[in-house]
Formats: sequence, C-alpha cells, structure tokens
Amino acid sequence: MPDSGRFDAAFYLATNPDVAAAGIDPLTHWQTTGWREGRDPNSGFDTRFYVAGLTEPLAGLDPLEHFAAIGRADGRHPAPPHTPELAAMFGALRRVAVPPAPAVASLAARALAAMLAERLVGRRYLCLSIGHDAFAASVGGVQLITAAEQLRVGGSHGVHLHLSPAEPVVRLLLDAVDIGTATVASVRRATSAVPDVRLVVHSLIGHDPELLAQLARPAEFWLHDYATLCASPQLLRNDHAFCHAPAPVSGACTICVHGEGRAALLRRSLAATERARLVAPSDTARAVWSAGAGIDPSRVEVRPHLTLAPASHPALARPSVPPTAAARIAFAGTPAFHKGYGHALDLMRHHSGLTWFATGSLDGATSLSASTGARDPWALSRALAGAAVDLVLVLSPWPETFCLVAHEAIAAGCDVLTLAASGHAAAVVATTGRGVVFDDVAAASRWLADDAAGYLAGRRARPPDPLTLAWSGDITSDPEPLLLDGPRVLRPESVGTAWSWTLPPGHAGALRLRSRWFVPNWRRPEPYDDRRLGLDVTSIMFDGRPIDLGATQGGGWHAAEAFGRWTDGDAALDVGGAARVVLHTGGAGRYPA
Amino acid sequence: MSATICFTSLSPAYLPRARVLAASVRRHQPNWYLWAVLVDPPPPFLDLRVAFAGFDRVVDARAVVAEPYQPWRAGHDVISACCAVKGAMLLRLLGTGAARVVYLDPDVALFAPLEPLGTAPVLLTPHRLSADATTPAANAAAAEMLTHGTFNLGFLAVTNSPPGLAFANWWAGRLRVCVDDPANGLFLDQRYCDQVPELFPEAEILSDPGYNVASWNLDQRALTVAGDGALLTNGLPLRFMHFSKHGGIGERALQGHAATNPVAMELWAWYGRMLAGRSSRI
Repeated sequence: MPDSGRFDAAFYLATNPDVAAAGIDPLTHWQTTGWREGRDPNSGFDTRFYVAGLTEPLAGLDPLEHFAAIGRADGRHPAPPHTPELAAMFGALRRVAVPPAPAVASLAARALAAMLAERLVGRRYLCLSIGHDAFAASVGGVQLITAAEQLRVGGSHGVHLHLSPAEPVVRLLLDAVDIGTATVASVRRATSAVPDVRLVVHSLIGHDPELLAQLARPAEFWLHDYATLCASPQLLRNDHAFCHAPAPVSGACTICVHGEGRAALLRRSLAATERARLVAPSDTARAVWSAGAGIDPSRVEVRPHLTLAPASHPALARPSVPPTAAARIAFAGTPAFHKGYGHALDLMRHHSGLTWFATGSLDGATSLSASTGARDPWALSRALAGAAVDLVLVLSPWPETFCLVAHEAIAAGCDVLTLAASGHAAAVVATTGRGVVFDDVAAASRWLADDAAGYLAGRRARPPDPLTLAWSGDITSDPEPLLLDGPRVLRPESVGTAWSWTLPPGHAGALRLRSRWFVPNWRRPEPYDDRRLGLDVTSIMFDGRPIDLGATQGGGWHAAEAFGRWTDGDAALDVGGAARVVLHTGGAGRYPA
Repeated sequence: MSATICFTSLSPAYLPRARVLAASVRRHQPNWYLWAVLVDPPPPFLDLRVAFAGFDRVVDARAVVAEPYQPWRAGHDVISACCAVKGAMLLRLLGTGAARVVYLDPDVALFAPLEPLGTAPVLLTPHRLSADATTPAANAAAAEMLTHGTFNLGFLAVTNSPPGLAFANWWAGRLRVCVDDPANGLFLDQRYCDQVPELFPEAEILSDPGYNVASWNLDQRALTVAGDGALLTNGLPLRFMHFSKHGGIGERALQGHAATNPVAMELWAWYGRMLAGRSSRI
C-alpha cells in the first residue's frame, strides 16, 4: 500500500503532464502552487477532500505536511474512506434509475389459449408461476428453484406457465420455453376455462399485484426474499445496512432511496398475501418476514428448498490436498455487496498468501468454471469439489433467507465462513458444523491469519462425513401412464406394475404414451443420469401379442437397456389396429429416491 | 395565547430549502405556526401561495426592519441581511402574544418533534458537547468556535416572558450591526450570543445532541439508526439536522466522517433528493 503521507514525484508527474512538460521540480510545484490548485501529491491523498475537512488553518504547512504532522495523529482521513459498505451506500445514493423501454404483447388471448389447450391434453392442472425474471434465461437461487418447480410440475402431470414482468405486459415461459409476451388480461382469458389452476407466487417484483389477483387465488406465496416488504429485497437501507424493515414512516425509510413508495408497496403486497398459503424457505426468513410484515409467524409454513443429509451414495470427488498446503478459499456468489463481495475482495487483498478461487474472473483468483442453471443445477458444487476448495466465504450483511451457495459449498465438502448477521447461511453452518460463524468481517480476517491453518490441517487429515443435497419437494413414484388418441385421454386399469387399456373403436392407431417424468440428475449433485425419464417399460403387448421393444419406432424412447426401455414421458406408440394394450413397467422401485 | 410560532429568514434563492423545512415542521410540529421573512422580493413569476404553501405567513423584511429599507439592505450582503432581520422579526412575533418563538435556519430539517423545550426563556444550541482532548486540531477547532461563536444560531427558542423579551430586545439592538468582521470580534448574529449565559442567567444551553446536528459537529454526534428505524444521535432521537453548505464544501467535510458516521451521508443525500424534487418523503 502506498504511504498516503509521502510525496510521490512519479505519480505527480504522471497525473500532471503540464508540470512534466514545463520541467518544473514536482515537489516544488506541489508546495508552491500545486496543492492550492487541488492537485494530489500521491494516489492515496485527495487534496480537495483533505482541505475541505479541516476546521483549522494550515498554519504554514501544505496539506500533506499537515496530514503527516498533525492530521494522521488526529485520525483524519487523507481521502474519502473506502469500505464495501460505503461503496454500496454511495452506489445507492448516486444511482439514477433508467426505466426499460416498454414491451408489447406478442400473444393474443386466443393464441395462448390454443397453446395451453394442446399442452394440457392428458395433464391434470396448470401451474401459474409468478417470478421476477425469465428463470430459464438467468442464473440465481430463485431461478434454480423455479426451474426445479417446473420439473416437478411437469413430472406430476402438470403444465407450468411462468409469468415474469416485461412492463407493461408479462413474459411467458411455457414449460420453461419462452413463448412470448401477453397482457395479464390475455392470460386471464386464456386460462379461465382451465379447471385446475394453481397460482404460485415467487416474486411480485415488477408485477401489478391487483392484476395478478384476477388470475387466481394464490395457492402458495413464497417468501424467497423480503421484496414484499421493501424495494430492497435484502432490506438494506441505502443498499448498505440491514434495516429490520421498520415502519415506512420511520426516519430510516425517510432517508433511504428505497423508502419512496414503500408504504404503498407494503400495503399492496401484503394484500396479495392475505388469502395465500405463505411459505418461507427457512426459520430465518419466517422470523424476519413476519416481524417486518407484522404478521403472526404461525401463518407462515417453513419448507426448505434443499436439505443436506448424510450421503447414501458416493460424494462428489475431491482431489486430495496436503494437510499443510495454504488454505484454498473461494468467493462463489453473485459479485454484489449483499453477497459479501466487497468484503471478500478485502480479505483477498489482506490474505494474498492463501489460494483464492472465484466464480467469474478476478485478478489474483483462479476462476471456478461453474455456470449454474437449468442445464446443470449442481455445477457450482462440482466446481468447488473439483478445485478442492476448503473454505467458501458467505459474508452477507443481511439475514439470508436460504442461501443456496452455502448449501452447495457444504455439499462440495467445503466449510463455510459466514457472519452471525447472514441469516440462514449462519444457521446451516451451525446445524451442520461445516464452517465458522463470525461476529464481523474483522473477526473472520483474524481467524484466517491465526487459526485457519490449524483448522484445515485437522479437517484435511480427518474429513467429516460427506453431506449431500436433495430437493425437498418430491415427485411421487407412481408414473400414471396415459394413452392419448389425439385430444382424447385414455386412462388404464392397473394391477401392480401392469397397465391395460381397452381401446375405443376407430382410434387413430398412432397414439402417444404420456406419463410423469423426472430428471435423475436434478435430484442430487452426483452425476448419474441426465436424461428425462418417464416410464421404465419392460414389455408391451398389443392384443396379447408381445412387441419387440427394441424396434419401437417414433420419438420419445431412450435406447434399449437390459430391463427394457425408458420413455421420456411423452413417447410415440403406434398400436396399429389393436383393441387392447397391456404394458408392464419396472415398478415404483425403479424411480431413484 | 399558548401558541408557538416558528420562523425562518431567507432570500428567494433559499426557497427550496425553506420548503423542506416547512414540510418537516408540518410533520413533526403540526401545532406550530410557521412564518418566513423574505429579505429580497421574490421573482415575479413565482406564485407565492404555491411556493410558500407550507408556511402560514410570509413577511417582507421591509415590514420588519425599522430603518429605511433600501440603505439598510444595501449595507448587508444576503447572509448578513438574513441574520440581521432575525432580531426584529423575533420581537415582532413575540408581540403577537405567542407563548414561544422558535427560529430555524431555512437549511434545517426536522426528523422528530423539537418539543418539549422546557421552560427556559432562551434556548441555544452549542457546537461542542464535551471537552475535546488536547490535539492541535482540537485547539484549532476551539479557535474557530471562538471566532464564529460558541452557539449556532441556526436554532433559537425564546419564550414570551420578561427575560425572553429582555433577551430579544437586547439581541435585536445588537443586530443593528450584523457583519462578518472577526478582527473586530463580530460574526453576524452569532458572536453576540456568546454573552447570553452571563447576561441572561435563566437562558439554557440545549446540550441534547439531537438538536442542530451539522457537518461541523459530527465528530461529537454519532448518527445511528435504531432497530425500529428511528434516527439517533449519541443514542438519543435526532431532532433536527442543519444542512449548511449543502452543494458546497459541506459534502467533503461529511465524507471525512463517512466511515464513522455514514448515516450523515445518507441524510445529506436525502436532502439533495428533496431539493431536487426527486423525493417528497419527510
């Protein structure tokens, strides 16, 4: 670090080309006229700032001499202080909002209704999912959870229609595929004839809650963050200090950039939650949200998205590291203040002897190639395990409601360094014992300097039993096969794992075999099968005559295996002129838990 | 009459600030009557009823100053004119029978009620709350206080009582000379009040840290936010902040305190949004 009390001739000449060009001695120039002109003597000294902060005369000293002789001892700052909190705060205070260009509707109600009708054949219900962005196109916790929801809905005979704001309309993702934009009124008309609509709210950000209320009564209202309480979803006053969601008339809200309009936001979003089943992903989320909303916590159900449990199968592979090697430490979240990014950078600067990793590119850190998303939900865990990362920083300055990163890190065999203020991240470290909870960043820094090596020597010599992640919402093991004859749905009779259909006369012959489906790789981080699997068909008979499964033609069938053949949940089945179809499946036990 | 009249003194250039003051007084002291005294005529395009909507009365300084106005005004720059008229205005408002008259600078904003103000006939707010450690900077700061006055006259509260009236008469008399002339011991309306404790022993120094928080006294007034969102100074409610030199060197002075007193910066930015019309949250 440069000494901000020393004159830096090279810096002075580099930043003042006129002085260099005139051939004047830089120090003489600074002392005689330079400081009066507001020029800076080194990279760490802001002359105008320092002089403005003085309450006393300089008494014949130049500002740098004053700082060296008096100011430093008095605790004066040579330049505006820079901390992650202040950087975040100034970011909020100086931000100028640029509204996006208004979007137009590309789908009319009738076109949308036709698409839904086609998709709903043989399915039981329509899940209307409300989120803040097109989840399939971006990366993040709520997006991943919405993607998992889409798989779960699809795997239980449902159709998933996701609405995200594209003001003044909504963008629609039908079973995770972008189909365009429509007005909420069009969505209402297109879904009004659907008998079973289940509305799940993940976020009201950007939505008009009164318009959404016309779609359906929300079945579930998720409290993934605190965006129903404030425009700062993390409840950070001026983006830098956790505020506990005080009354909108409070002094804190008055001086906060998020205070404007908060009373109305609170009133509207709480009205939207009134008749819904409220679900929080953690005890922290429930406690903080219900206190801020002034709602009895018993109205809020706690349902974690993912659970960490002892692994019943091989854990993610981790290369071994010598017990005495430098700590391998990572920042693995969104590079934003609310994820503790600034503090992670500070720790990186102060502990440059450690081996650093980061998602994205960062000087001084090895990049963890991990793009978590719908293609591979466990990419981050895999990257952390593959790099044998010991420690993952989660220094969030607000009560995290869930914190996927902490879970992913623990599943990768890492320990998590977090703050007591970090909400569920601290809770998950406390329950699993996988990491350390600090009172503040300074304590974490001291621990890295004094205790990390000893801690890791023990950890590397005797690694704790692996924990693995699993989604908490499950797909039932009943595959519920159906045959579709055009728009006609034919339900089977079943005995154990045998399913039989008596086909109506005049059927088309070319039918579809539709069922629930699932993607095994979504269940847990260890890669074992990334196919979409529907039915594990062991045999098919048309009018009592067995069919060669290996020769089954048409889409929707995976390659033949020893037991038979998997469908992908929507397979072509040409029954010709058969009047009876009997199908055997491998049974519920074949669905991985 | 038991009413409190609050007044401010300004030139039209300070109108945006005065409007913030008025809105904050309306919220936190809705029982107060709010007056303004204008030392210069407003621009002709200004609709006074709209511009001063938050005020109960706007008075032209011509109607207050005893001397012939043009020469009086020509003898003062804007700041000293605004200060000089305070004494005469104080007398005039006490003359209405108000129980108490409170003066606030136009660049003040309230964040909590100022009441209760007790029974002292004269209330002044000090710059310093406690003795400073011996450092060259503190010595220099002390010299600065002695040059510009021990009390900040952005706030003054006077009751309609014999000692209150005695003070008002004395101060208004002194303010016939209202100049920035430190070499001769004068600094506007402020330095005179260094004498108040000796001349008016019933006067009180309001040492509550929540009154008159400003960029120059943040080192002794730690601003924090309580869990319920209340703004605090040294753990007590923040009553009012004095946004002197907003848009000028005040911000840099504040930045020096940003690490230890970031809330001051947030207040400062809020004031900027209010002045720019980008916020209406009081």
